[in-house]
Amino acid sequence: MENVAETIRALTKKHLNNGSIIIGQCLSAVGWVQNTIPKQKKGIIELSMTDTAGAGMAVGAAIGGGRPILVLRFQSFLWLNSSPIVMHAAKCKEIFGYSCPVYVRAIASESDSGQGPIHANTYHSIFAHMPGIVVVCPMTPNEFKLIWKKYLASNDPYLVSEHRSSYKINYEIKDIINKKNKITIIAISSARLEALKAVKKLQEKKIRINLINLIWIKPFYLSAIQIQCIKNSKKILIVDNSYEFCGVASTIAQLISAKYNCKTDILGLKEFSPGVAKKYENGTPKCDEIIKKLGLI
Amino acid sequence: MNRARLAYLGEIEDLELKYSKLYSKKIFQKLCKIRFFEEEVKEAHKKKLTTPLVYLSIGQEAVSVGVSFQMKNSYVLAQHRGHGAYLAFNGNPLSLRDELLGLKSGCCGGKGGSPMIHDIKKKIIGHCGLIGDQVPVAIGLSLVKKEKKIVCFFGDGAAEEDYVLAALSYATQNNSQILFICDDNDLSVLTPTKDRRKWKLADVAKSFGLNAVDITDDPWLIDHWTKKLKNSLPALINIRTCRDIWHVGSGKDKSLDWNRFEITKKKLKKIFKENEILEIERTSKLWAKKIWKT
Repeated sequence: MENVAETIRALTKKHLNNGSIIIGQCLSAVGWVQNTIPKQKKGIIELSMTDTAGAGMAVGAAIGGGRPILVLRFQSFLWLNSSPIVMHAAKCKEIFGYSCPVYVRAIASESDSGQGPIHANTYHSIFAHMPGIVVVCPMTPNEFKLIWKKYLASNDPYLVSEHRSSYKINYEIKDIINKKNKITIIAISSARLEALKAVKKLQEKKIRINLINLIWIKPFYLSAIQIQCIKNSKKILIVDNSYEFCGVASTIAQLISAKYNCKTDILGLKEFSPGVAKKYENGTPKCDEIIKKLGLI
Repeated sequence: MNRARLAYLGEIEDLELKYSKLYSKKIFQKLCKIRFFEEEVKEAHKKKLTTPLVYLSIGQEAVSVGVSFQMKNSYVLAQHRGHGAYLAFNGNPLSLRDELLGLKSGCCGGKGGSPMIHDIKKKIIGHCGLIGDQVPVAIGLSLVKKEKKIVCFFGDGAAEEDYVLAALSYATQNNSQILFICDDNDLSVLTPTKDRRKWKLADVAKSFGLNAVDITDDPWLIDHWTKKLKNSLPALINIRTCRDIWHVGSGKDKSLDWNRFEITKKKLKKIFKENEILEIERTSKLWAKKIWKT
């Protein structure tokens, strides 16, 4: 089975060969963005080093029907790129009545890779705050394929919160649901990998809990089976790889507790900027932190 | 800098006499339509009939009029002060009126208001309201509409936005078929250009590799340069003009450095009889009043 990087590359290649474009900075530089970009000239547009204008150009290409992919090699660049995405693309359909389907690949990297205060962290929460934009966090090959298919069928702008830790994944991560289990973790993005470790570790101790993999942040989507699982649970922990305060985890916790009358808690990044040295890391909540938060240690 | 001197910046003597009578008539008709439409908006705003934020083009009408004849069928990206460009490029006046009145039948369903107007059927793209946002958007449009020409308006304040300068720079890299028009009223809200920067936009554009000129807002002069530059895009025309009304709203700014409408009428007297000019004004006023009657 092809891994996530290969999946993205294959989908992109087909898109470009159908006449569409991918735009971004240093796309053809060493590594071709973690091997997610096809090594070809057709359809690849190298931007000058201008972030706000670069996003504006992607928006213009989307208005023109080009279905562009905008690549941001680090999610920290989202801060600079946000204005055209949320102020223009996200408002197009509602205000102007025409669409602006730009596909933004925002790539997060882990705090423990020495990225420190610059390129560590994930910022999908700030985009989920705004109406008019789809926010998704895929982690597996099939999830990327499904999201791409949905994007092509829709006329909405997409903010795809990718995580570098997903690129080598060549398997699917399924939900673990058993109606007898009374504790459920809902995990997002790279937190899914740590949550899965936590579930397996607890299983070894004969403690069985559910795991729901959340992909669609906005519109917020849970399947009927997932909803039933939540209804059966007495305790739910939402684990995200972005900051807790005003983050998607807290919003989802509020939504779930209000709708299904469950006890919820959240776990995300701690309230400080990560540093480059190991002792200053502030990355995706680790397996043991998740177990501790559940009160199972 | 004495702004009054700029009323003649780049002028070509008796240029208007090189144009056919019919062409000059069309120029003046369009100028009048925008002016009298805007006068109606101004009155409606004073009566609080419109949405509060209204950005009027009075005083600056000649800029979009001067560009419009040579750039027919182009994509148009206007700025927040965009009524002039919208009407000059044949945007639906009824949809504009309804938008300003906050009605569902407005071009943005009454949600965008004055700064966000569009008429996608006429290839007039909406503006997000943040100044200069449309400049990189125009570049993006040119990436996928390579065969089409694009006109992109922005103001002298927007010209200072980093993303506008970056986009202008990229226009030459991409060989974008865009004519950039800087609607230079020398004011960012009320702060004059001399308090904001030392450079001139046309100089910067030239250094980026664009063809560029710096001229006054004589409509024939603008038409002349648009015709000249439209086949060597990307290009930029910085057009010195005078805003007659507040940055936003319907109040009046201090007295104009020059009144292009009156200067144009004076020039037209070399071509038309007085009553012909008055007749164009009268019919345009009637057109605008009819639109705003409801």
